[in-house]
Amino acid sequence: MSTPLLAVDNLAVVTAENLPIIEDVTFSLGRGEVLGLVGESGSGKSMSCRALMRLLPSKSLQIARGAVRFEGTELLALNEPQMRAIRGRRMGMIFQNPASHLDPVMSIGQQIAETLRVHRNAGRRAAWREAIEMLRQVGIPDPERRARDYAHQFSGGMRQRAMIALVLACGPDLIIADEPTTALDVTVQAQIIRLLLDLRDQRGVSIILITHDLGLVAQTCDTVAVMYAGRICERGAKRDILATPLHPYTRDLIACQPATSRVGSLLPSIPGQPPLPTAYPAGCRFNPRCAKATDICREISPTLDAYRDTQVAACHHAEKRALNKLPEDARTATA
Amino acid sequence: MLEPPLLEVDRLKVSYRLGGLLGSRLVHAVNDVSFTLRAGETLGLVGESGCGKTSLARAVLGLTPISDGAVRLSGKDIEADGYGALRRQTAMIFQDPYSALNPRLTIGSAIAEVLQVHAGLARKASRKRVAELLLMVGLSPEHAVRKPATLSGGQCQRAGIARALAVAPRLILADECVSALDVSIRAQIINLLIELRSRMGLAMIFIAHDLSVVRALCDRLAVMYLGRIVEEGYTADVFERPRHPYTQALLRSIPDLDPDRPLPHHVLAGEPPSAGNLPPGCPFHPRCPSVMESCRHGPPPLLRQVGPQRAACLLYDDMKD
Repeated sequence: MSTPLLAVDNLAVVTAENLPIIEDVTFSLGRGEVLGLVGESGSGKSMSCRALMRLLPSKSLQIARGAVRFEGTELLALNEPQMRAIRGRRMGMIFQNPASHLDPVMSIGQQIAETLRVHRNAGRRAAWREAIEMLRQVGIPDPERRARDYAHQFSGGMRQRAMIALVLACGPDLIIADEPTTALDVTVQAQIIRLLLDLRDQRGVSIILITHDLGLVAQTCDTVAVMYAGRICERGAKRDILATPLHPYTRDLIACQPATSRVGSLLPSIPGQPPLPTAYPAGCRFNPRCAKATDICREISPTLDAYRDTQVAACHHAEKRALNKLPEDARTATA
Repeated sequence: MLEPPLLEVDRLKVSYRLGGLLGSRLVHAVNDVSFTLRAGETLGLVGESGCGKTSLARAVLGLTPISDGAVRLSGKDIEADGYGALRRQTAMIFQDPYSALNPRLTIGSAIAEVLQVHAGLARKASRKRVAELLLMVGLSPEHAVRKPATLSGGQCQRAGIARALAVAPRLILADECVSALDVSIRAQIINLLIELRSRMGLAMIFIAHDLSVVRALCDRLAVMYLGRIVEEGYTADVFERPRHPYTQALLRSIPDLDPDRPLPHHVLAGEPPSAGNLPPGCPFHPRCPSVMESCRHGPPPLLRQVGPQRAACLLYDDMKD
């Protein structure tokens, strides 16, 4: 494979008190690839993406070690103006709540036109024309008229489309979509995901899709990285991860998707709750909730090792599972 | 004579007045909705935002004035009855457990308050009952001294459920009570609700926009669109063969874990219009993939028997009853 668009290597973020928020985050992303970053809230999926864009939400957080190469450029070595140029033009981010990321007192069209003028030095008139074209591309009906509307005049799904148009205006190579459909109605969710995939097909953009919804991952992603308590616990091709998960957390997560439920029966669930960074357990961080934990899991932290062509997992017992190749293992759940 | 059902909602209308003094108009958030709920039964109320499911729930609890129609609890009209019996027999579980609990009260005092007001328990007796309730929802009695901010989302929702159970209700309304929770925790809370329901014989109205959650929990299902029920029936029947095109679209948009079933290319177009700007004819017709000429005008179609369930769609109009 040629050099990936993005390669994140051993990225770690710590607080001022040296508490690890994320650790050993390693993944890469090819052109036109969709990576699903899956995990529960607080697992570090958004934090990983903010760290690689160097947009940490607080001054007390800092990148402790690691490398982020974007088309071969080491992002962590850039100064802020250089970084800003890459961030604006080459990477874009879409958020769960577009309303809080759109300017409420500027029309949607103006916002996109302004972005075009800043990043592409477009003239006023050309920028407005292109803004309308962008809105048309993301499926806003009657874009000439709607471009003059403000964010509050748009519905939730339309705002998310406008947000995508805004990000696309810069012609990015990478779009990070942080739970882009979580706040939307189910029928609108599918429309937005469809739109993102069409953009991938037409423009070859790479997408990191941050989500807690494995169903969404199954339908859209090429590769998946599952995060738990600040670390990646399993990563690989989507098909392998879903069919033969090697980490017990991945397996339990698949089992407790309500999509697999039956009428009136209890749902498989994972006991307990994810730990906070202040109270990470020794050894494997999943061990207190893991049905398969043994003594070694409580003492030694597992490393992320390769077990199959595409699949890496951080579990002391992954090798057994990989050799047995028990697909039905994925269906048996810890009740 | 037959015993009246626990809850009877009869041609309920909830309307709000929108706009200023001169240009004001009525918006029907809930329009001509009828259903019954027997003791111990769970009804799932599903629909997109703005379809009126929360307004319906609030009207059933007497929190929003009823514009027309009636809500009867054990055969008694809740308005005529002065809400007294209603307050003692119903409780609500909210979407965001942190904002539903008083942040300055400990979990224990929030629950004890309910016990002292509604059950008239003395302070000492209420303390014992608080411990029982916490155990019942899977917390430990030690959680009574904690404040909501120190609990995780799942624990806090359990505390919210414990407080709802404190009135010893016969009917619980759960409004999107798991949508703010993580997947692994969501399953825990749904299982808790399933357990409590069978142990206490609770009737439940479970409001959700997520059909997959409803499947595990609900006996019956009502799908709402723009203030009206468009399909209603037993959960298994509706899932097996949805009749209304809207229900079909909702079911199709549940993401499947099967990687060989890719995202459908044809998803429902558009978004629901606002309830203040209803189209003529069937309110769903501008988005409906099977729209016919007759759908575009006239009054909205009524619910009629289609197979084992009921659906409000003209596609089934030529079927004989």
